[in-house]
Amino acid sequence: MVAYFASLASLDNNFEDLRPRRPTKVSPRSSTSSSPRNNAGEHSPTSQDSSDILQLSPTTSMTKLPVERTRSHSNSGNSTYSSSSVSSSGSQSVRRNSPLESPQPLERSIREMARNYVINIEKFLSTNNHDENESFSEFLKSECNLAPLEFYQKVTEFTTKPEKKELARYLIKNYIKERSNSEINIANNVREVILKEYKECKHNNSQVSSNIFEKACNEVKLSLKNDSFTRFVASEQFSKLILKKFNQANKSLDSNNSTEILESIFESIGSLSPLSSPKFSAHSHPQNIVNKSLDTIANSQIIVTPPNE
Amino acid sequence: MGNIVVSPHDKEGQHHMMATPTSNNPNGGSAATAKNKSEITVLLLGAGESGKSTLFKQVQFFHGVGITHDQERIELIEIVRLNVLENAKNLVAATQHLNIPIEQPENRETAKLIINSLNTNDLEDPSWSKRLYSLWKDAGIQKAYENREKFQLYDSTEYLFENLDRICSDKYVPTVVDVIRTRTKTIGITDMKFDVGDGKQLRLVDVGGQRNERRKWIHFFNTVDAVVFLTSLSEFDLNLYEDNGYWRVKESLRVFNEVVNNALFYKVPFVLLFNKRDLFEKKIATKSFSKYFSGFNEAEEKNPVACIEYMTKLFLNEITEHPLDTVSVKTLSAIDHDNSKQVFEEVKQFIMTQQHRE
Repeated sequence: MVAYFASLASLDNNFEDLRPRRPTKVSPRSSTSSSPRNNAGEHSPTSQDSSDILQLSPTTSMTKLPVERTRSHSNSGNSTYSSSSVSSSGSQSVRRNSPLESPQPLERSIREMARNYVINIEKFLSTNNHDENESFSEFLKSECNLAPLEFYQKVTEFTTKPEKKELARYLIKNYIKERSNSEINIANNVREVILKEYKECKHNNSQVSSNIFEKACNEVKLSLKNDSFTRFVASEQFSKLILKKFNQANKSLDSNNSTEILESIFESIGSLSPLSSPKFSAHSHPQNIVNKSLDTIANSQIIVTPPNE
Repeated sequence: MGNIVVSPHDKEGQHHMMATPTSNNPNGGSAATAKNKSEITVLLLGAGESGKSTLFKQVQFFHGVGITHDQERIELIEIVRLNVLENAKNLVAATQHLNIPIEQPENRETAKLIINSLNTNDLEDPSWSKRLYSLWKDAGIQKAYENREKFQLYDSTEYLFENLDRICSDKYVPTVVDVIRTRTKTIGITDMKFDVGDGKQLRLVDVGGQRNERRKWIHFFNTVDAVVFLTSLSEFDLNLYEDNGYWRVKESLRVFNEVVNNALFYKVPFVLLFNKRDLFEKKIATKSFSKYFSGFNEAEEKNPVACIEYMTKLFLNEITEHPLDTVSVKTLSAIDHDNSKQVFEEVKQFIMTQQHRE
């Protein structure tokens, strides 16, 4: 095979016309940043009693091997609930060798309840939802993809601002122009229309129209919604956010109905999915899930720390 | 889908992934403590629309993740329907752009609605199935479709239009195939891990492929144990999404050159996957391949094997630094579940064998 490759590589095929000029080498990033592998605190399926995996036959292991989706830059810390869909199948789950590391029932019920809601990205990211924006942006950082959210937020600001020129210039310089620092992923023609319109405004010294970024923003929003956001809603960050909001509400509302609190949190950022209606699956209705898991909480040693007790 | 180059290691240790050696670490070794040897990071790289995420989704499916709850499928309904609408919009826009009239008056009405007001919820109404299908079959739209290299269109267009009767219904729940066929532009970098036996985990990293996305890749270059580079065989007549004036093949070659010759990857097993073989074979039956490659013998242009061999040479010619005995080349049809499974198994074997040689 080596010989085969060597012969192929040495062939002179006159590709010069289409061979690109020698590109500059992509240089490795300086080693100062943390390694993406540094998943301290994360629990991998290998950390379990490995006999579960090892006794599977080749065929079953193709479908049953534990898998988890992980975040690239793990948020180290003590939260241990793995979002793995496999963990719901029972024995193959994260290691549990100390109560502190066990998945918390409330977090699990949040996760199950989340499945019954379709989270609306516009509602979720509305400007006064500070925690929500913060949480999603933390998630996007772990995916090396903060730029689209920043762009989305800044365009929202842009549309309401009376004086637009300065911000338009900033957005174009940092997000729209090719090879700009935080370039967003938009189609060629969308970018060109913006650049052309901006150039004309500059030339005529006229006001920049408030919808100059509309197409780009819609495209970015669509990518966020269909790609990143679907992963986010299934992520640990999302559960943590809901947990945080739960604790806040628990403290301030003086309500002791956990189900209601959770429902109101979810309703503020999304709506019940058609699938969760009783005709599909009575037992998975959020009400039942929460009731069930609150029982679990009550009978469990691990109780979510009540705030300020 | 045969390999072009069968690696000598491919057939060895066929069941190695499933083997059951005991782990040295009584806890099975956590990622945090024994990451160097217990975790193998594999990057899926390639230009935009080369099929990285399609392969990623397939791998998720073989391992029982991905779509496990109906709820998750419900959320995909909108994405599938959005794909339908975007395809329809792009086709209608193309008829205008290419000056091809839509022939039937009722189809022109449908086209207007698509451009102006139709949204994904409307597609619950089964009457849209007929209307959209009739539009799809309109001679004008079909002519635009035949000229699709002149504008941007997803590969799944035909599939989606042929499945409208399922999609346009309030009972619709996406199938696994629908999910695989749906185009969602990946942005940023995401990963998943799964056990491959031997106390090891394979961490598969998926990335966005457009130019702006590629600048994010280097964040992962330091920690890589293997690279799987995808390129689309069927892109020979297409230009870039992010740069209409730039030929996709040229871009792929350029990206391949940058990646394969990167010093960080000298010692890393490298797999080049020629994806979309299915589409490619269909395409060369009707389109000229040699038109795009002056060095290619025109008489051979209907022979897929000859064309793929030529593409292979083109890509391997870019390799100036990487040792060739750690490069493997395969063809793939990522939308095909069985083929993906087989090729990914071979890729895993190749990578694991190369790891053992170290």
